[in-house]
Amino acid sequence: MAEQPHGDTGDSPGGQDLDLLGMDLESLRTADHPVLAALVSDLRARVTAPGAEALWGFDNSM
Amino acid sequence: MVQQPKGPGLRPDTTHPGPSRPNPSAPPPPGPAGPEPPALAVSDSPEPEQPLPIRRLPSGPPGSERAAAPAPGGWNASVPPAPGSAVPDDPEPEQPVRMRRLPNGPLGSARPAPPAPGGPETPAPPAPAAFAGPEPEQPVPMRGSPSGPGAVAQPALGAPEVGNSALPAPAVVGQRGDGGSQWPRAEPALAVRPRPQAEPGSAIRQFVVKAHSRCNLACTYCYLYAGPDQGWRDRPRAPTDAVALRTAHRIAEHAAAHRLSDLSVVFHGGEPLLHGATGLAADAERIRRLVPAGCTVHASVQTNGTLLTHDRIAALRDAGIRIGVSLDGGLPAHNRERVDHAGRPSWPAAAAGLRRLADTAPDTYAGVLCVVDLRQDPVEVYDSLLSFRPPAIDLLLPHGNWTSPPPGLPAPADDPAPYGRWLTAVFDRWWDADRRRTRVRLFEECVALLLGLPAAGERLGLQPFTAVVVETDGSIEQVDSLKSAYEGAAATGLDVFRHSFDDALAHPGVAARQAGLAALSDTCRACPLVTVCGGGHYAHRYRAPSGFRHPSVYCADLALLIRHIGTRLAAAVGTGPGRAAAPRENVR
Repeated sequence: MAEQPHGDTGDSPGGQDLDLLGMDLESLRTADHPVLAALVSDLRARVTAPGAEALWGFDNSM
Repeated sequence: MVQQPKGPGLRPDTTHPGPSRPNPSAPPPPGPAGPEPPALAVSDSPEPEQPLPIRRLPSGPPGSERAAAPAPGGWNASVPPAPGSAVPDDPEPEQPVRMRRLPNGPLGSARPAPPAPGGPETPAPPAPAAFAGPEPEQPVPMRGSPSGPGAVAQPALGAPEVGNSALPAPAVVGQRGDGGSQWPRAEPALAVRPRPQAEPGSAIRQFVVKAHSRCNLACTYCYLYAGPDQGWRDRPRAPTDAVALRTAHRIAEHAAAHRLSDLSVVFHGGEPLLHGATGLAADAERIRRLVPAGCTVHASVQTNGTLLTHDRIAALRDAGIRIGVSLDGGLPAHNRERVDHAGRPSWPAAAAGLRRLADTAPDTYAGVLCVVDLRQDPVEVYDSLLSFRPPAIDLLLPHGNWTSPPPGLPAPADDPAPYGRWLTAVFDRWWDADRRRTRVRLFEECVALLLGLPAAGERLGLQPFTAVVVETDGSIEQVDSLKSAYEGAAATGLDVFRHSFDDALAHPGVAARQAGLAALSDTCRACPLVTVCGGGHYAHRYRAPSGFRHPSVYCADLALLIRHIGTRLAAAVGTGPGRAAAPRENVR
């Protein structure tokens, strides 16, 4: 099996960069999207309690 | 229906590795509910529980301490949402929380390069010494602060045998081919930047304890029992009390040394319920008793569900052990390969156990793990799993690598990223619902990473991976998934009798998984998606004979999925195509 890079965006059709890193969670929370709104509540906990995610690193358990 | 030819690769089941090989004399399949059925005999390998020469553990300090960790709110949080209902929003008034700002350095500058990380190709572990003599179970006192006089230097990376650390009190121990870029045309490039990473040598926060080395099922694709590493054959079926006690002391020692406020213990297998629910409860209680005051132990068990009787569920619930279940989908047809040793389907017992869990102990129900099977329709699999009201789902990619590709890879030219396509179909079903019907770990971690937030898991992100496994003989190993690469890939040469978990942190294979960008291939390091993808699951990067410094065999699939989620996320917040862009003060 040959290895080829797939993440290069050079030939991506859109061309436009999406930068999601500058968003703040409060704005996302009020987004008109029910799944995202629920998810943002969880993400807030990560910001307020950084490091806790390390408790759940092992993929083969829930 | 997505069709997929049988591939040469292994299809993992995370949790409960199936059994060894078909056993014609195996007992009947596990029945539905009822009182604790006897554990099924599952393997023909011997029980090598022979005491070995006693060794004395010298006194010595463990590694350096780390700052206390915050309260967890992760995937196995103690108060899950009510099954069948949307996860409620945080009801408390909140202060605006901004994303962590990222350094604007070039890719690869996020963290210093560690000492050359070694792979997990390490010598086989020496036989652990046997426990000889009683060991008082006393809580481990907290050590001094990292900067205080009690602080001790962390063992150097790259030195697996760094000497024996001591427990504080008792000293007696015994013993893909590409396929081209066929991204949806509306999906633009994503700008992703490196996040700050934890320093190498972070404390281990997750302890995977093998409660039983055999399984009552014989799933045909199991990466553990049907894979290249057959080391399980030489291991005891269950840990002796000496191993369990020593493991608990080592966990407590690590919690004290690093001043951990939280840690998680995962009882795993084999099928861990073969150890008995009361046995797991006792093990969890012992660990909780030994860790320092103020350290919360989050315990869970990952089971195939076939042994989940009312009594066992109640025992686990009462012991504060959350229950995760592995299924291949929510219909009998999805679980055809999950059979017992006589080839009989496990589905009836597994489904009954899972329903029992959802009905009687929803607060103990952690969720469902499901391995992607390209032959199954993705939306049908997802919808059928929802019928079991899981508070969370995770979708795992079959273990495989460049040398032993997973089923369906190399991908055909007209379908270059079949796993990515399968997963994006589920994502859209989940994302487009009128409420969050369950949490889907893979997708939520991807969103977190796209937003520059901390993430958990092995498949995405550059965060250190700090989980270790304690086998039934006391050996300390890396996670089982590495065993899908080659025999002995998970071995460290360490064991709980002679080594601390700080010693494990210093093992080159463990250190490599904490090295972030520095451990990745040049291809990955140059990729604009690397901070989200993180190179993919470590086991999926393997290529013989060179090792793990390669992109994931799922590179095309991960790229497709990340771009798709990024595009849908951007559209949802008004910054991407498909949605009118409203002015947003905080969105660039």
